[in-house]
Amino acid sequence: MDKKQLILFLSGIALSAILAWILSITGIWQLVIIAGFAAGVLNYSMGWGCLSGGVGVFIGWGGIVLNGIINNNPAALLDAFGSIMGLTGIAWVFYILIVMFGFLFGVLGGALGGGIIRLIVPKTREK
Amino acid sequence: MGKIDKKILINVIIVGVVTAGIVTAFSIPLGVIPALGNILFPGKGIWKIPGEVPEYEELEVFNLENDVTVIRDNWGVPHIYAKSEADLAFALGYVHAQDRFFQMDMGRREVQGRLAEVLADFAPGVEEYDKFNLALGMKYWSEKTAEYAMELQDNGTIDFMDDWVKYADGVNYYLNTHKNEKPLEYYLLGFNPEPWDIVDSFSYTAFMSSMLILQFSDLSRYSEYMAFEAAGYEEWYAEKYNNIHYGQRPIVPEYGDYSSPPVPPSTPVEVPEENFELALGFTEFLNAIGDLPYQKDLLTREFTHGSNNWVVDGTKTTTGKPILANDMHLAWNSPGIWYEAHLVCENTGLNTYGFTVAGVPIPIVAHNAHIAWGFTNAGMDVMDFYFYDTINDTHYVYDGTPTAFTTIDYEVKIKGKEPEQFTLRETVHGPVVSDLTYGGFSAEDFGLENGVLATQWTLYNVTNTFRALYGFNHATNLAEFDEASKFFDVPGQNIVYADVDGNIQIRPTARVPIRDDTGIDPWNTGNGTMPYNGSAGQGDWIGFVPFEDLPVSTNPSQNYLVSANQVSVGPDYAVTKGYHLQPYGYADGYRARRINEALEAKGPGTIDIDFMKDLHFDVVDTSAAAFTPVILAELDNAYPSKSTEIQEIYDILDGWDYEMDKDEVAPTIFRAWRDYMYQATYGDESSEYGISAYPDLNLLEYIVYENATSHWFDDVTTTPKVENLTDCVVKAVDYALDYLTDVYDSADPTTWRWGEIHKGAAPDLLGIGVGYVGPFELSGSGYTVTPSGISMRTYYTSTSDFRPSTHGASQRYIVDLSNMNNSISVIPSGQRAIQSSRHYSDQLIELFLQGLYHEQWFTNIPSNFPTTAVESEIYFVGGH
Repeated sequence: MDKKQLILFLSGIALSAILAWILSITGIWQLVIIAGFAAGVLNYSMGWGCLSGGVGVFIGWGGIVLNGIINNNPAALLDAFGSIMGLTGIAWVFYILIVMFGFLFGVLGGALGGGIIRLIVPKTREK
Repeated sequence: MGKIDKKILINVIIVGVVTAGIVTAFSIPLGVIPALGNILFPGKGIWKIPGEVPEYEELEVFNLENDVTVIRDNWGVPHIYAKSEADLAFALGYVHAQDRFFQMDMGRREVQGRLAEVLADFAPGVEEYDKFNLALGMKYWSEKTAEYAMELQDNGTIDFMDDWVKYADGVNYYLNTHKNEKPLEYYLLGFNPEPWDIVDSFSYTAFMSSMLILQFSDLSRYSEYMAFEAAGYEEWYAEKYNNIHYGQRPIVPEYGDYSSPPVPPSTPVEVPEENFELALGFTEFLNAIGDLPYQKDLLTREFTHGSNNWVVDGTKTTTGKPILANDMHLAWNSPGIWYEAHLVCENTGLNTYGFTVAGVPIPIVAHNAHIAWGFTNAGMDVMDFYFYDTINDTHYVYDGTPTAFTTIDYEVKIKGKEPEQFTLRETVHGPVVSDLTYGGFSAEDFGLENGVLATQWTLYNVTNTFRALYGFNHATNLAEFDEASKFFDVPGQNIVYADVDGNIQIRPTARVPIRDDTGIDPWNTGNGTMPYNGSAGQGDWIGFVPFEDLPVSTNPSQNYLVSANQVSVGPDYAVTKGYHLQPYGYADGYRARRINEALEAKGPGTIDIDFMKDLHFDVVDTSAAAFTPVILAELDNAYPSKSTEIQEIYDILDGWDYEMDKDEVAPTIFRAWRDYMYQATYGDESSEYGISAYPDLNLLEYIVYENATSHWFDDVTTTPKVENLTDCVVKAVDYALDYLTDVYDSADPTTWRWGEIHKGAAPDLLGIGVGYVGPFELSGSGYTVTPSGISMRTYYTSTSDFRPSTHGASQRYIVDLSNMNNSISVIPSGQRAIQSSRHYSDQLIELFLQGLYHEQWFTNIPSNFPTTAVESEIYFVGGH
């Protein structure tokens, strides 16, 4: 990885993390794909894009989860939810699953962003 | 497009499809599993549900007259200070919605037959329960009561309906400004809160009333009567039901006592053959009702839907002023039914602290600066059944005349299904309940050729109870309180009262129907105790017992008053007043016995708040005190030389103080013995003749003490041997020991701890475990002042088979009329129905189960509120 790619990679992480946090305010969690997508576009690569997006959303959602744990006791709600499935006292499993799914959505968004930009930009250059 | 582009395109398509698939999977509900993404992922669900209310909020509200201050104390109890009562109601609506909206929503849905609309996934068949509730008329009559209240407002009879409207405004203001903060249950069920309406508040009153007065015992008594008739033991019915005053201490002491011998059995009467078929039909009907969701408990519960209240006057207290105590026994849930609130209105001087029901804009049980009151269920029979011949689907015979059913059409919405249309048929008396069980209950099932069964109850009408509650909260003396009591029509309650002037009072009150029993069949015990033949015009309600004739005791010479659901009046009441107020439906009096004994034993100037606390949490079982000496005596009779096993049991019981302590083993032995003693005494008649329920425990006590050779002790399945008291006691001991050895997996009685099987729990409202609190070990029993009831089924084989009690004291409070600031209270849950809140179950865990209470901070000036007790504040800016 050259220096430029590294900067883009890290910028993608930062961008997707910030976007993941901002987009969560809308209440539409599906928009998190956009956060990863942005990282992919920035990286101009499906590979680096998915990694950058994944890590970024992981950090963004991780921050939200951490903030929630500190300020809002979501463990009780997760335990209540888990008890429907006969599972209690496993809020920490939910925390891990949530940030891992955040990582996954970032990866998918990043791959899409990196791929689509590669499809669009070469065409533009040919013109 | 070049080669590389094509490869990328394929990859993008693959990733796009995978992304769409995963996102969709988390966005849509799958069966009963809700859309997981909406619950779990940041941006929605649990991340938006506020565990706690904000520490400080300032809200500009355009339809408030003036500013309103809400201070929540350390237990999350709101203390609301406003200039007008309308503003006060607005703020109460806001905090109710903030803390309890899902509970409010479920309550109104239950009354209005709208549970299936949101719960059909979780509770299949719940639409039948919706129909049942619609048929009971609670929705219809809630709407009518709301209309009636508005008419009273319009014609100037009352002036507080604006407050109820403002309350709904407050609820809706919260809902509109917090759409993304709905409780977890809404995500799980996949629907959104709907606005609150004034009718919903009246619905909740109906919900409470139905919980307390709905009963089907007329039908079971009838079936039982016929069972005894068929067996040729008609006098046994009379004995079972007429003797049950044994040991009773009436609530109102002025009408004599039941120390005289029990009423002798009535003369047997001829019963027509068709009655037996009808009895079988009623039994089948009851079984079908039991299949409805939530109704089984109603038919089988122990008498824990009771309550205690008592009051002592100033001669007995250390302060010279009365002290009043109350604990109402209802289902335990998380959240509990009660929500504490303190309401202060500067303009009117209202200053009341008490127990509200979220959804109703006024405290139900409370004290203000002048008076205090409390409730127990009075158990008056205000629900009757009528059976009729029908001519066709549209007509039936009433009083010998063809009469058309009236009908009401309802639509029951069912989540995920087409709505069901439902036509309720009504007779002159009320709804045809035989149409209601699963798939309808056919006429043939009743043994009637083309017959139906209808019910009439006092809730099938408009109610004035809301006026009584308003009057109670505003009363400043006994006369004003009495005036308000006239409006208290449903549910029947024993209302205990005390004031700062030193008065104490108790008043069993309700709208009690007077039946026209002229010409009823000779087998019918009358007074609404059995179903009436409606086609013959029997049992019409011809009026209600006048308020002036209802019993009341004011400042009695005994200096205290007690109600614990025991019989309301002594035998002189029917003689002097001419009304049979309460033929059945009362508890067998063991809790009342204990409280009476405890208060009676205290001399002048000795009772204080601490004594009242101890009595609230008292776990002495007076039934154990009555029966244990009999067990010991009969074991002595039966075993001049006892085995080691029997001797061990004997010694444990002999040294017992009758406290149902969770850490002791004697309560376990006694409780098992009691159930087996019941079975040894009545089980044979039950199976042989079809007795639907065992007699009350005090009848067993009566025959144990007064008639050791009673026919009940004879096992009717083992002729010619005639068993006696000793046989039954010993048999019950033997069975109990075998049973406990089995369930505890130990023959060592010192390991049979009561708390291991006697537990409690507070289930969530949905009953699916979303916030279930418990189980926790409990002291007490169904017969102690601290109530709780478990079933001890004979088929249990392990301690883990025992289900926790989910009924008990739903609140406790003690009011010191010498200084209201000394008053204390507690609820067995918490104020806030959000699982992640510290107030979800804090009072249950930290206070209730520890035998503690919290202070009420009863100040009418917000600036005097101790800062250390302030947890959060809301400041509504009004006057726009």
